[in-house]
Amino acid sequence: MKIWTSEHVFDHPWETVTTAAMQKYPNPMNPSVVGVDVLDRHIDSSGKLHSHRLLSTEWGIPSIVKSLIGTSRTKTYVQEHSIVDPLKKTMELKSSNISFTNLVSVDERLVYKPHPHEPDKTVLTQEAIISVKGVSLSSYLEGLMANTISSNANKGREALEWVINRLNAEIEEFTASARGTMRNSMAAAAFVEK
Amino acid sequence: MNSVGEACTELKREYDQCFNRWFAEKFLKGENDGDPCGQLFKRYQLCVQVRAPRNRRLHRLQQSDQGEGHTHRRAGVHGPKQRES
Repeated sequence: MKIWTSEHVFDHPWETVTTAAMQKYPNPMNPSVVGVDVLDRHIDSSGKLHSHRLLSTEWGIPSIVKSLIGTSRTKTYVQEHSIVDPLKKTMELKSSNISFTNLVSVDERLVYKPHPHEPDKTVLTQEAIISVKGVSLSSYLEGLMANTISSNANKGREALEWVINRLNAEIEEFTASARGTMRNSMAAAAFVEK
Repeated sequence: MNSVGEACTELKREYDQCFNRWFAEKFLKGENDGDPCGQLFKRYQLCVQVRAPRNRRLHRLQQSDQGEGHTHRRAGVHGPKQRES
């Protein structure tokens, strides 16, 4: 049962958003994500790229508590499976938390596609399902959860915008220094010609 | 971004750089001559499997949580042997 769904439009082309999504961490909006590992990556027979990643998160537990119970017990983990189809231009991301206690699980699904009417924009549709011991939450608890998920989703979108800006700034810097080098070479060539 | 197995962060970074470049410049543009980062991925994976024993437990949990089999392992690295911790 879906607890929460939303749709959001990024003012960037699908390729930019997808590239940023693959490099989402680290970013200042998700400081609790402290580690990311790629467990498997392969291209399937239809040309889609599958990535299985493990994210580890730390929720800012005071260090005295950590020293008592050990850092291994303060981390929580999320597993992510993403599928990128470069021909159909879709990126699907499914994630769920790994719970050692098997009490609460949070499953999320995100799909990034080009905007159907504006090719330089990207549409993100998101949904989240929370289950307690295999039973989906409903009514009252849904309301409580929805707010948290919604604000996390906003952070996630801001995080992508941040990554996109960083990538664009790197490109601009590179272009500017390349231009500078070219100008210097041309000036040197002109000088020699004289 | 650090690796979950902290000793493997540098290897992961090298692999990430290779992958991100290939992904944006080749894969998304429809040029799929195959992923050139296979070697870097293998080295990084070996590190994670060997030096982060905690991850083996997670990997087992992950596989049982997911309940799906991953028969497609391009880089030749697969789940760890079931040695009891």
